[in-house]
Amino acid sequence: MGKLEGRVAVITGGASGIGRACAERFAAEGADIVVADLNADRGAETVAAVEAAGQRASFVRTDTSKEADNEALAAAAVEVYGKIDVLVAAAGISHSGYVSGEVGDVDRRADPTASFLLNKPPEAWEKVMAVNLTGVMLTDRAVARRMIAAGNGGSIVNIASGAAKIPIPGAADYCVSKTGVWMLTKTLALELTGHQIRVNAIGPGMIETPMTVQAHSDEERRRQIENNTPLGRFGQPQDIANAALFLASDESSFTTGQMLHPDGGIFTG
Amino acid sequence: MGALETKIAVVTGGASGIGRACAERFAAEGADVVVADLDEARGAETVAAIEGLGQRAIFVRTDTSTEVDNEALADAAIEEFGRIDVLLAAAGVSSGTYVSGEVQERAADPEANFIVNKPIEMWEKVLAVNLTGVMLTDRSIGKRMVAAGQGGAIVNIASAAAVVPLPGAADYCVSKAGVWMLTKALARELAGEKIRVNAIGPGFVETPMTQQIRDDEELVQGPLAMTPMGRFGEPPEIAATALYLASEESSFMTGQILYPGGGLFTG
Repeated sequence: MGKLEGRVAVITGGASGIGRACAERFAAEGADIVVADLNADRGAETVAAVEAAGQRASFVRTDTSKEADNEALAAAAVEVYGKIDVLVAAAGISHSGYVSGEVGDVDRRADPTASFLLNKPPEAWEKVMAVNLTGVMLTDRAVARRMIAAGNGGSIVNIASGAAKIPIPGAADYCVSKTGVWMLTKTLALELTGHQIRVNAIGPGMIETPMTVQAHSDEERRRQIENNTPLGRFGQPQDIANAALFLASDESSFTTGQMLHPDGGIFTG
Repeated sequence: MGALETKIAVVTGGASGIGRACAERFAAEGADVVVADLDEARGAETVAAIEGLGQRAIFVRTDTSTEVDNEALADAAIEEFGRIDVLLAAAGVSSGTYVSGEVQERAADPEANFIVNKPIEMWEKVLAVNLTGVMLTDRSIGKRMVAAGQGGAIVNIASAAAVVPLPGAADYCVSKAGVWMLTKALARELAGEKIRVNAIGPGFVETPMTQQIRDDEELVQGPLAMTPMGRFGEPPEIAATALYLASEESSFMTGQILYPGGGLFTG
């Protein structure tokens, strides 16, 4: 008996990285999955993986920074599956040039100060905020409305980052957006307790995903990051999916407004 | 297939409340359990519950505030089961007069427990059990885990009171804040040994420790008002959190505290 038997989960950013790992783990625990992403090809791969696990899945192409797309996503989920029990909001970008599931186009090693605040174009900052912060708010809102209307409670899991609490020079936009997700999570949790909807976040450390490929494929940077991580390794997407499962399932039924840090011990509050 | 199949867990405070719920859940997930507590009669009930689930269990009478008892506990666990994979340190007192598993009487004057009025012996008792006691248990078990070289998971039961001050319970709050910092420091020290150390900061939970509050219509309003979810937690909800931290599901987490508190504290 899986921990999400009979549940329906919407997962944004579900085409790759943490989002895909969540989709696959949730399916293995008995959930049907709505995969939302910009990348239709990789999204189809996730759908195939979920179906191979014996569950139903649909892909909905979604630009999570747009309210209309989030509303369409939530409407599609309810239309196909009748309800939404779980949301994992994993769609996010590391910088304005990031493209879903692709290697980033910015190499900070060339000139680390190019992405410092003094030099960063405001448009770059705005793009990161639009996707990582306002996007998560819009997805949370669109899905939570359906959860409230259905009256059966629910669980929302926002993928923030350890960067919500640890500043990274050159990634101010990313860090600020993730801090915003953390406060959004806390506020929304308080607003939704009366509807039995729990809202929690995850603040991963360095995880081996397409987003961090520059770091984990470079031997020197990889060793440096491993040395800075008490548990001495990069995290795997599965590590985050396990945390997401805990928060999405009834195992965490008394937990709301919290952030878990599966990060190898980097941040300890 | 349980999440703790073939694992050996030591659970202090295992005779009642959160400790017992953890012992039972761990057993349901396939672990054998060493139950440590001051209360033998209730400890025997926990052992019986675990055996009823088809797992092995022993009771070791332990005053966790004494080093010799913690060493004897760790030795007994190794002697019986050969190793220790998981420690759940749940032994704790709410005040200097708390007795394991027993319901306390309401204080006649709430301000009698304010710092300016509290007898120093009460403060020292709470710190001895809740803080130094957890350190001593962690250390005794941590030493055996290091010697065995197979890693492990240590879960300390702190409290939301580690970060939320409660007037009249300064000793309790300070002891739990100490457990949280102990957890973080120990996590750093043991990361190289693949021993993960995490904590849980429960909110108000339906245990013998809170029964006096729950039985009092007036007193119970305080905790309910502090808890956005508007209810007390149940011990199995804390045990589910402990299971997550004790199992491989949290293999990339160390030095963390989780707050199953109905939203009481949000950081």
